[in-house]
Amino acid sequence: MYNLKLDNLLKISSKLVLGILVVFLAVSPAIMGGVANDVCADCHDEVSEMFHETPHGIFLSMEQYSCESCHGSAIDHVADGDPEKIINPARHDQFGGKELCLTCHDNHRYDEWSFSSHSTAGVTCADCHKVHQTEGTVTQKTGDELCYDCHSNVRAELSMPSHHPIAEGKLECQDCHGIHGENTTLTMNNTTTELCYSCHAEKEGPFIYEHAPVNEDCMICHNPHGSVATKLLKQSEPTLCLSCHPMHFHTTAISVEGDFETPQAPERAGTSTYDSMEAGMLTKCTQCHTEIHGSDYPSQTIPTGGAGLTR
Amino acid sequence: MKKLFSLFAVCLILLLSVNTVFAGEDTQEKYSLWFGSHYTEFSDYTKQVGKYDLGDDEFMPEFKVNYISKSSNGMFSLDGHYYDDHNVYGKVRTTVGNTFKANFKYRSMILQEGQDLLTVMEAREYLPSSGNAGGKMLTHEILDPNADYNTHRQEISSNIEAKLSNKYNMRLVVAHRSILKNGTEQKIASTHCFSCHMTSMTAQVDQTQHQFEAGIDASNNQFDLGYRFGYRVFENHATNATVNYEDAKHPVHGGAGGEFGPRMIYEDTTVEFSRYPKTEKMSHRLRLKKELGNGTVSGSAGYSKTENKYTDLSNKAYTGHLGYAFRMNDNTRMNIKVAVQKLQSDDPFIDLPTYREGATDGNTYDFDYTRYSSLDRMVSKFDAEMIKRLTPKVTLSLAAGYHMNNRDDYPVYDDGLNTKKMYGQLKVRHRKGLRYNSTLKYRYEKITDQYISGRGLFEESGHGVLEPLVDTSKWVFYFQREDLRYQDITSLPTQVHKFEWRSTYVPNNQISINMGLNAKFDKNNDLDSLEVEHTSYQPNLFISYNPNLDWTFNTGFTYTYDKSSLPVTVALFDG
Amino acid sequence: MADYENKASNMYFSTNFKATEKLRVFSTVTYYTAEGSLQEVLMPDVEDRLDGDLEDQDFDMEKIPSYSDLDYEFLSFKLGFTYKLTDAVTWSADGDYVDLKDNQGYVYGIETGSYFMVRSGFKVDF
Repeated sequence: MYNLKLDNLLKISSKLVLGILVVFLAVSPAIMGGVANDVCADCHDEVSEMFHETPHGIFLSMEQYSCESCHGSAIDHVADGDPEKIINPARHDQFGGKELCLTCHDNHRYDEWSFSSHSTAGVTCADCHKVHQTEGTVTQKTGDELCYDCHSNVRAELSMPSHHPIAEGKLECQDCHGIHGENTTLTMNNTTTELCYSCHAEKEGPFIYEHAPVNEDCMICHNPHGSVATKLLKQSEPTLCLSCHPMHFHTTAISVEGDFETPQAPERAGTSTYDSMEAGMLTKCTQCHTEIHGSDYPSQTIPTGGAGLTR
Repeated sequence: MKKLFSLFAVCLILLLSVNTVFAGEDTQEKYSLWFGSHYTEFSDYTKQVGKYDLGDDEFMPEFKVNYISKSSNGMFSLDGHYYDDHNVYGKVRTTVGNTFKANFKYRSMILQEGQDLLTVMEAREYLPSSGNAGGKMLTHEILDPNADYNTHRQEISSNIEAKLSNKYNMRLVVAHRSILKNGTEQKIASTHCFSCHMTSMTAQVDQTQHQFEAGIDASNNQFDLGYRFGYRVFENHATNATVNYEDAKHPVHGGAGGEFGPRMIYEDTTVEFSRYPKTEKMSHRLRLKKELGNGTVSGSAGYSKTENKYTDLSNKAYTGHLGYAFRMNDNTRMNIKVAVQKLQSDDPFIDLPTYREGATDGNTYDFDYTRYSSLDRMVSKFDAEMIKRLTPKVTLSLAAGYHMNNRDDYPVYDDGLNTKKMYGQLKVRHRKGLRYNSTLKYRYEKITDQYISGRGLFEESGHGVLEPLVDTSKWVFYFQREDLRYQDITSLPTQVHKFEWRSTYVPNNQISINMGLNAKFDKNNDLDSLEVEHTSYQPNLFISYNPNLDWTFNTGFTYTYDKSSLPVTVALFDG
Repeated sequence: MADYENKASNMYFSTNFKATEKLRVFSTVTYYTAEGSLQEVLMPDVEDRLDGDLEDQDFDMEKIPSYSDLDYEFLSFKLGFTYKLTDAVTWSADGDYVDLKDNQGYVYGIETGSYFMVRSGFKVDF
């Protein structure tokens, strides 16, 4: 009976010790405060050495934050060096809960991040931003070069004869595009044309005499990155205009051949050829219809209601 | 301009002071200064080459400055580049802990514009009548034949955020932007009286656009709220160009002034033309964000009003949206968004002179009308996207949406025009670590009652249909033909197919290959016999090669092809 | 109906070479062609549909494409170097040559032209 009690005591004690040991091992990271930074530096010496010069390294107190603040618990990773056993933001995809970086960078600019094209395309913070970089900005490349890595077709469009001066460094992609889903350049409402008006306010009007496609969408006529035709037009005039409007009937009039002068104003003279009237009417509509975005002044003839956009 | 620069200087001094005050013992600083000069020479310069790059044809000094100071208290940085008087860039940024953040930026550039020589505006209509040298004329004159048109654009912007209180994490946000344009531009006036005469002249450009935004953000564990007030003004300060519109008379014999004159709104007068508006815009916007369940709700509501101060016309916009982004499970995300916009525009009454007023036959006509705006509309949008991780390497995205655009007052349509767009989109992404990444996207859009021109493209023959309105004349008026117009026309599609493929392959640390193809095909099926189609494709290839630490090669090629099939409508005019 | 075609090819090649510990050389060549053209406009035979006299009109649209077609060729060449004189001082120089050929001309005339820019300077790090 004495031996039975001792056996039971030993069994119970060993189970108790084992249980305590298991619990201790499970909670020890919390009790012990995780893996110290110098442990990380043993393998990642280059990153650790420069880290104190990075914005994160400078701004964040190492008493409050550590490598594990972003990379998660490193205990398992330290044990066998397996990169799968630690959070690597570079491999972090859109399904891991709230974006890791947004837990600190919780700025209103990123309110719409989840809805943004970048987020839904699976682009993460680490795809563009380099946290351990010391020089310059915190993006992997500066300026438009970063965007061209994925949007290479835009690089070509920006080389077209007519283009917004991004390649020349006068404008940036972010001047129009909210790369984090935010409103850009102090746009004041969410309408289609507002982004363009935020720089080209002279086109907004409202005008007495309107050109309806201007109210509809600037991109009916314009390609904002670049185009072969002038003024970022998708097609050169008159083709663009002829896609909605018929020609003037004067277009097919045969012209005299030779010098002429205007009977009522002889100083207005010129030289005409067989196709001159056709050329005059079919080269550039906005030579006459100059106020193509709208005007407060009427054109001359009454039956058109003054809506010819010539003045 | 001086005031703005003074303000800029004051802010810079303040920021430097802030930096000095808040710098700590652990401050790290880096400065660099680049100074030198450049020489530019143009050959056969005609404005298109280097239109944004023009430098003066001489030696010019140039410098760049970079300064950054970092400490545990904050950061201050200054970047500047002076290329020449017209190309300057400067940016100042400062952050003080979590309480203050400010950016100031200045940039300027110059845009060169060519001069339209109007050489095609020279023609005289052939008329075989005996003793007649011809009919209608096109003529032009260039008042400044050697004009040098360019615009100097300057932009100053600032953005300041300051923490007001730890309670509710309240922050004040103030932003400002000014755009100033100075220079000269070409203005062309077309006078239409006894000849079609184009006059080209030089006009000064002196435009200012000022924009100001202020607001408050606040958040607690439950909500994140924000309010923004916006204000923008635009004005051109230069004297407006003027032109003389001659008296209306027959272009050949100079008579019939009594007939042609009353057909015009104005004649024999010098008036302004091509005037820029003077606009004032104001907006209010409320923003909300809240964590809800496994996701986030975000929404906004806004109002803006734009006024043309010369005409007292105004546009109003009421906008709002609500979105919910959430995780259905560990492998599935969902975004749902609803947006509504109501746009309203004033409809001015156009009071025109009576057509043929004073006509001896008594046949006069009244063309007064109300200009209904094509801007008036109600836009409703519903968008949803589900993103699912099928395997650790493959992600599938399905998106669909329904947009409705109800144009109440679109001209000439009694019931307005109600455009509806439905779309579906499929996207597959395959990502194999950092070595291989490929995305394939297909999008289909179907649009019904697509936006069309307010006037028909074609005119029926008037023979046997139109009768002269004036008893003593055999001619019909041009305006009578408006009733014969038909045929809807637009360049916009009713069906769109969009295809995008993009691949990045990084076989080793030395090579990176990017390939892609963008293709789009759209057509409009609702234009009777007309076929309006667009086809475009754009393949591209980029290779980056780093054989060793010393060499880097980058090369790329993009081909762009775009074809549009559009109507070309010719008038068969028999006088 | 008529077709309008835009065609553009864009090629670039850039290198960056660290010749020595102190010397780095870089260059970029960019070449593009861009064309915008209205294809032939084919008018149907309309004589039998006319009621009036149109002998003073010409419906041959053959020349339309020539009024507004566009054709550009662009070449840009950039070459430069940086040389570390000391740890704090770097000497740099670069030059750009840009040439545009306008093979068609539009209302602005023939816009062919070129320019070059040479620049040199010193960067001092503190």
